[in-house]
Amino acid sequence: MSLINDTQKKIKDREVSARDAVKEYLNVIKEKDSEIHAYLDINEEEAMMQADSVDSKVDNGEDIGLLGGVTIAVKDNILARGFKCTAGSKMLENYRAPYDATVIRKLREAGAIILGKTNLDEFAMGSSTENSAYGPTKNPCDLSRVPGGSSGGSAAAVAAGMCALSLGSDTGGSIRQPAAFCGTVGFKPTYGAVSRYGLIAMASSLDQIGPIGASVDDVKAVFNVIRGKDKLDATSFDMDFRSDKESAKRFEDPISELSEKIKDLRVGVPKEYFGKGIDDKVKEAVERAIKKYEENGVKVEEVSLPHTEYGLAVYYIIMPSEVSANLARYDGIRYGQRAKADSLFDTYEETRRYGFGEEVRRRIMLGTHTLSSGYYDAYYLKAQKVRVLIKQDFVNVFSKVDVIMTPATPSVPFKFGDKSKDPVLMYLSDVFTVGASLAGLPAITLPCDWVKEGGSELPISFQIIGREGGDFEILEIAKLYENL
Amino acid sequence: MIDNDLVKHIAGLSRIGIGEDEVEKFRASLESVLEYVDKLKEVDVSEIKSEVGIAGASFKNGFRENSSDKESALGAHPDRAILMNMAPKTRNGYIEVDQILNK
Repeated sequence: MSLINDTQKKIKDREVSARDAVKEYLNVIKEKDSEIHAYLDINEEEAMMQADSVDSKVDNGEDIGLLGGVTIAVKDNILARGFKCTAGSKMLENYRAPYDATVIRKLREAGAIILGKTNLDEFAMGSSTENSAYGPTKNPCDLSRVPGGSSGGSAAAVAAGMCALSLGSDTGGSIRQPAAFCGTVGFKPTYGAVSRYGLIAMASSLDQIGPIGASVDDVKAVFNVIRGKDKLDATSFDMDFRSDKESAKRFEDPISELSEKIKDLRVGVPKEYFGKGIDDKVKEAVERAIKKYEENGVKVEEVSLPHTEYGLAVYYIIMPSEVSANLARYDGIRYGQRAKADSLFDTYEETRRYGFGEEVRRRIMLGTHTLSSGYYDAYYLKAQKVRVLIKQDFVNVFSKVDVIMTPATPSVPFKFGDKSKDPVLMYLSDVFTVGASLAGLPAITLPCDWVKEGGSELPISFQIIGREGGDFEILEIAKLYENL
Repeated sequence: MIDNDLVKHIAGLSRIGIGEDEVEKFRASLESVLEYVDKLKEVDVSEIKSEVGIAGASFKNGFRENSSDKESALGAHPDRAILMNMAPKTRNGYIEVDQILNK
């Protein structure tokens, strides 16, 4: 199943015009978004203009591009000209993007239609969108539950059919966890595979942009458009160095049979991801999903990532440290809000006091503390060293297996207010996603089951983690699951 | 582990104003996070010589020519006017800030 292929075929065959296709999405937004609140900014006029340009290309027999006529919603921490970019913060309430992020430029060049900007936890800090200064997004599967976060608006927009695809950003699980909570597919590429020019920085050694969609084919198509080296992001690189890899070749070959593709495929299941703290329902559903691969001839073996239990602790030192540096730029001088005060020092303090919400202030303070004189060695340096051990765990396991499979989240989506009072409890929502982030590895989450709870059907997802640069490998292995 | 004075000190370093009524709230939540991350104390890192090496073999430093080519140095940046319009306070084409030194 591919929304992109369906849409493009219909537009090219003139079954439907791009204009009508876009109108249909705008109608769904009108019907549903007052309740779900996935969008922060929508630009109908601009979307219609983009649609008309696709239609005139069809009329003239021109190529409409890889994503021609495909509607895309963008997390509101990625700059797109013609839209505001608030990062879910009061600090940037009236900030309008002065330029396009590289990913937006690439999407536009491929003919994609940017519908609007989606809600998020303030500056992407949270796991539920409850930290947005503009109110939470609701989970389309059950309106009393959170959509996950921080890319909650992007995941909910896809799940509710308010766009074909969306972009999110993932620092410790912010694409994968909300995608899982909303029953969609979320993909975090290898660190550096996609340019971050124009992404509002949170934690630079972790941040990565990636797609959320209804199917693996769809996210793969978007990834193919946005990936690649960008001279405006020095950490970006081209993936082509992997193209000679046998396994990648095998999966990219469209004619090879399923049995041929999974012959010799080895899946590692890390025992540390199935221990305490995980819901029985989630555990069983993910085990069943892995069993499906096994029944089709995939070799599955238990592996160990012994430093898994330290992942979240490492993350909650390194991420706030980088946050404290990156968010120093919001001083109210060059853009954003500026508070009135008597001295420059007070201007900074007051601007940041009223511009930032509680969680953002907490993380900036935490990071300032862990980097400060007398604490740096005990916190930051120690965390960086444990991070190396976590990375080594993955390297060791990938010498034995091709991919790793784990649950995406420890539970089904939780209710509003359940975790918002206790930061550490909220942080535990990312326990299965931070490992791949700290190690810079590609990872994808996709639904494997739905369970009934209080009258609603809630999704359970599993995660496939690949080796560095193994993005296509995990995309193909995820696609296999849809056909098993 | 963390007292109210330390919270105020950190807030000052962070240039974040916090009200008297907020100090205890931040103290308690910072303490609970620091207690949680304290579990790293039990990890032996004596074999790790440096924190460099997080990136794998395929990651290399990205260098570019140090040229005056405007696009490669600055990217596709917008007009000066657009950027100036974003500043909360400007005067005569400059961004205005508060006085730093007292008369």
